[in-house]
Amino acid sequence: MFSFRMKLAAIAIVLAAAVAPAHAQSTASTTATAGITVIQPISIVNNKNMNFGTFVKPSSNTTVTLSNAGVISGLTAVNTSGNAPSQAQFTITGEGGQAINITVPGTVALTGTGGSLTVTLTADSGTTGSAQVATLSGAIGSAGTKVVNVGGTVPLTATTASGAYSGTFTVTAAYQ
Amino acid sequence: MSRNLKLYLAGAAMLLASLQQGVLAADGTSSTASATAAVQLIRPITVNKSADLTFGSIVKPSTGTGTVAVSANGSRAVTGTGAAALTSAAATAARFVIDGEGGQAITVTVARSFALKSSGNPDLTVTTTNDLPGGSTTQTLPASLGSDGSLTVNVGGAFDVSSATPTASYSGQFSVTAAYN
Repeated sequence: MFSFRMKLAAIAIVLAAAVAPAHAQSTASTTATAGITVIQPISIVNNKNMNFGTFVKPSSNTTVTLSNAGVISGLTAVNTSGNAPSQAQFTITGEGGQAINITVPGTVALTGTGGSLTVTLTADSGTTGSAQVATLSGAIGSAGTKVVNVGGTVPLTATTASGAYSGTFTVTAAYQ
Repeated sequence: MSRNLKLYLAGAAMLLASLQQGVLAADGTSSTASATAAVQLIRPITVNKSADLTFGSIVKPSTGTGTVAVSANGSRAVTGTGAAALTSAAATAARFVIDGEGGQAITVTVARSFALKSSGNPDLTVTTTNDLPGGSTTQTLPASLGSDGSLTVNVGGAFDVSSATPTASYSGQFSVTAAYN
């Protein structure tokens, strides 16, 4: 698409060149404007992975919440040295001022030797599970960014096997 | 099939491949990135006493002051003029078994001292000793995540006894605490 737009731009320039030197006769000339907007590709990178941390199994069902700012509630994380809780964070870069859609999945499954846990994701870009509208910072002509933080909740039970659980989720950013 | 169409199909296949790898879409209009999500669950930590600290029966010094000590390995030593331990009442070190998630860091706190009490008599103050590896309160449970890690700590103690110490039966309590960090 990018190269296609570049071609359009080139064609527009050729057209403009063809129109401008209209005959140098005593007749009037008309100027048409040919507009095209070329914007840079959009990209998203993962800055930080999501980590709830380490928890002692609760004696009764307890939901642990990891906020979009990386703060844990519901239980207290232990042995955080080298294993501190953190929200996931992504940075989207593209053309300034452009409207984009951000899609964060609704859930992610964490698997471990003891089974599976389902994390319900929350994003500061808005509701998860469907595309959310956002606008890149800045204005057209320069790069714009948008940072997306993703937290979540995970229900723990006394019968959940101890061990490490992990999974992967993907966030998509697209121009509208 | 024309050559151009073949090229187009090849291009489309490459585009699909790049999308599956989660990289920048070939046309630059969308992009994806992945993050990992993780949580660790560990079993509750427990401390169980499997033996009490016993000093046995001690004959107090005839003059001056002596000491009675039981080491973490259970051996007993008595000092002081005329002081002795009766072999009929054996000495034992206290033993505590800590269980938790293998490989996890814990802090073990053993009371530094405690009082042996006897009604109507002054307390005898026991200073404890223990055999925590490295003499450190910070320990790592053996084994690895997903299995039980068990650590045993033995606790001994020592107290002063003098010719003026009232004869009586003395007893007291002390605690050992283990916690994840």
